[in-house]
Amino acid sequence: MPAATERAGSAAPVLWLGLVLLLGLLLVLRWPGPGWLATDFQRLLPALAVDPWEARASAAAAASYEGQLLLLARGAGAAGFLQQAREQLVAAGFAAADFEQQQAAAWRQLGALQQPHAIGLATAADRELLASDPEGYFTRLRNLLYSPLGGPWLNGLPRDPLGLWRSFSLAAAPQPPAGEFELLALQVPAAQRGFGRIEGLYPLYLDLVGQAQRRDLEFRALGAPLYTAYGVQSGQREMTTIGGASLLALLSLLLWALRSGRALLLSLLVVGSGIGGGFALTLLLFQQVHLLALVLGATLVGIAADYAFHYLCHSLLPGWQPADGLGPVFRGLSLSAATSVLGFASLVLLPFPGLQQMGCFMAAGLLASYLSVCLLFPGLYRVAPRGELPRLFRRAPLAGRAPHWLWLLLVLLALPGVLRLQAQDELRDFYAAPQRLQADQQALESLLGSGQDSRFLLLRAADMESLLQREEALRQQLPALRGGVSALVPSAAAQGETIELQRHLLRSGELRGWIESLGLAEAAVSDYLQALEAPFQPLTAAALLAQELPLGSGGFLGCDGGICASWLPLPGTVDSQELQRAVALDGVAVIEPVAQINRLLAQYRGQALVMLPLLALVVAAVLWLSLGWAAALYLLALPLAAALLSFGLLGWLRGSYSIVNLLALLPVAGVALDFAIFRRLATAPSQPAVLLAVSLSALTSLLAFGMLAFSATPIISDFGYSIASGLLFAWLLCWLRPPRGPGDRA
Amino acid sequence: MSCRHALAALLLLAHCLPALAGPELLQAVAGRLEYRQGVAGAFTQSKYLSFMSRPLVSSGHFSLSADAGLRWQVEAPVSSLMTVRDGVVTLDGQPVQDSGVGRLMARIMRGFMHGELEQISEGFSVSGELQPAHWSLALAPRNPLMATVISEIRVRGDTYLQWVEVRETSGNSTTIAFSALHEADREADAGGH
Repeated sequence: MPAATERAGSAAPVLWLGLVLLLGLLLVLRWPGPGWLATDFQRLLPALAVDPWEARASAAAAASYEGQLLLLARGAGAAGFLQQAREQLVAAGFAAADFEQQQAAAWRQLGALQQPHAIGLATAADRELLASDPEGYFTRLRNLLYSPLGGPWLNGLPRDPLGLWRSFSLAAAPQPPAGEFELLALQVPAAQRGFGRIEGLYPLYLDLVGQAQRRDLEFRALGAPLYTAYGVQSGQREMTTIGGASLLALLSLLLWALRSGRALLLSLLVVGSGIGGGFALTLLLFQQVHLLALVLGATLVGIAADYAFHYLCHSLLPGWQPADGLGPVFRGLSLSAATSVLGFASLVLLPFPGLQQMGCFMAAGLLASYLSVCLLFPGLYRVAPRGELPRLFRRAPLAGRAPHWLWLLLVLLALPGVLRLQAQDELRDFYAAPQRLQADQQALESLLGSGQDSRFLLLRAADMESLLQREEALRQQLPALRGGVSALVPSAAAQGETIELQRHLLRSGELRGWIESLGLAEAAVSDYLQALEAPFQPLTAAALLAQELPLGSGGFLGCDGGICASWLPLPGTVDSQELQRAVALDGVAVIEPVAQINRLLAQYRGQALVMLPLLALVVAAVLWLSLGWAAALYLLALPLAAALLSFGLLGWLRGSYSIVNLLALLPVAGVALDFAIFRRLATAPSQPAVLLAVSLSALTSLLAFGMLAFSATPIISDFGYSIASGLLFAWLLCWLRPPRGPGDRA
Repeated sequence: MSCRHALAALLLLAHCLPALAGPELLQAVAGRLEYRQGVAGAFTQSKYLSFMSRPLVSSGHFSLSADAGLRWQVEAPVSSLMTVRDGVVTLDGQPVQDSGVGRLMARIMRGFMHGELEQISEGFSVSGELQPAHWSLALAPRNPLMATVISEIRVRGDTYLQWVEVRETSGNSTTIAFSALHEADREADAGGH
């Protein structure tokens, strides 16, 4: 029989290795490619939660600014400084070397497509002035032509003698703001915007700030890539300093308690297996892992290490022999793993992709950790028995049995704080931006005369012509609006009006008089005059939109199911009254992406509030079936009390909570439940080992994740705080002796 | 030595002299220029367009000062006023989107009339020659986008900037000849001519 056990013991690690290889092989075969890591918050949310046109418009709006970088310099030598800045950014890969040329080429291509239809292209303002006061229009244009500014207009006279097309093109193109400063617009290539690459942009920006200061120049920069770079860089820095410090403390603690290098290595192996297994299975099932699921999944360290600690701490008890194997801890381990795995796996049933991923990651990770302890430890942890726990844990637990009123008191203590809590669903609260970048943003917005506004207008109509007319009507209401499809292709009705107006001026002789007054020979404008008399061929959107348009132009979203749609950025200068008038137009809606995400956050939070009690019910059912209802109640009381106290404290300290605090309860509840199960199932002599194990688990988790509370990024510090306070309360409460259990009978 | 040999020797010597590179050339020009707080004068602008048999000519007065910026008053054949002040360009009192033309012009005039030549060397690579009585420079845009429109700007002067020619890649060109240059009375010139 011992020989059989021996054989089973030696076969188990091989089985473990086989499972790891199988998972690895599956991962290689089904590797989803470069897009395996999702960072977009929208991917966490149900796809049906957003109107499909809004989703398309949001994606288009985000794409229009996500890579943009705007640099401003002011002072003597500003242009040269920006040129150098550009070269440095290009050399570092943070700016496309030929971006300006590409954009210029795109504008030229657009012009070439418009040219055959140029006589129909005019802004509504020019058309109105030319119709109501032709002489006023001619005077204005003549003054422009004779001024130093007239060059580009003069060049186009043969095909555009009234300057209507040039004026239309200028209105569509982005115009640099006026002022005594130099501006440079750059585009960060998409390949450089990912994690592991973008973070280098922030130090380069700081270097440019320093260079500008040394040259006595004012330098400002604005753009989403800078914020991303700062976020990633500060996150990595914190991971290095906070993570490094906590890892060092964690290793020292484990060495002190377990006094065995092998025990330490095995513990790390179990944690690694948990995270690796969770990651692999999530990727295999979802073909993508979201960054937040990865971060939350990494908190598995706390629970996964628990399984190893219980095994190893029991090995320190007097009389323990390697041959005891899993015996002393198997029931506790199995029950703990079963409740946690079932609990987290039930999240997969919820209709939220984010929670599904997190649930899958944690359930698979815990299963992998559990299997690692069961398969590896009996065979590989065969050390000489030490027979003594660290001095602090040699005696029986100090605290007495917890009376029922104590639980009631804890609830009463926590309740006022919990009642103070108000939900806070604000995306902006999750991120932090350095003062320097915020100051740059304010300065640039003030100089450019427009605030950064993430809002935009979404227009819908039954067909393309109606959509263009709707845009034109909207532009009449909000003259500050730029962009839009109709800025490149006027509606057929507007083109018809423009041509008819010129024909009228031709018939009245005013047009010929104007041409002669410029000294233009009729031969020079013959093509134009012929085109004016020829049948009208309007420019169509289909011809234009097949081309790649310059960045920031257009805004057409497509036609689908009897609806054509477009989006227009909303300048920060538009006041609320103007906006209300615009929204009153048929088929026009203001889309506020931040507000939309906040609404979804609230929805998510609501789902989490429902999901947590459901999770508790699943766990309670498993516990009830295994141990009876009284034990189930006790075992649930510990995580519930820890969660309540953590939230109560949050209520007193801050008064608000978010989805982040609720999600942090998942690992806290898992660890606290572990504590309770082992305390309840352990025999009286092994209680000191259980207390050592839960103390190690709590301290290592506090070191690993509690230190996140010191992060400068609010979302991370919030998460860290909730885990730290929840674990601390769980640990303190688990010192109280559980009600009668197997230990007492022993 | 015959006259012909002497001339050949002088030409050879001239070839052997080191050519002045952009920054040194600009520095040498800067040494000859007289700077004033404000400069005013008359101008004649001629635009040569490939599709017109005669140039489009306009004339008027201008003033340039640190406070009032550039004021460009066209008096014939039409009457209009262009101003460039603090980077804002207006035509007859109305702000205009000028694709950078007005600012470029103000930059060149400030460069040679106020001595802000750093801006010139930043934006253009400079070549040219110095004669005892006058100098002439050719400015090639460094910005590749500007280079698609403007092939070269030629400037000529003595103690003042006297003549500017803008050559476009389209083959069209604009010349501006300055005359009657004098130190501007700031008060009077700020009010316009």
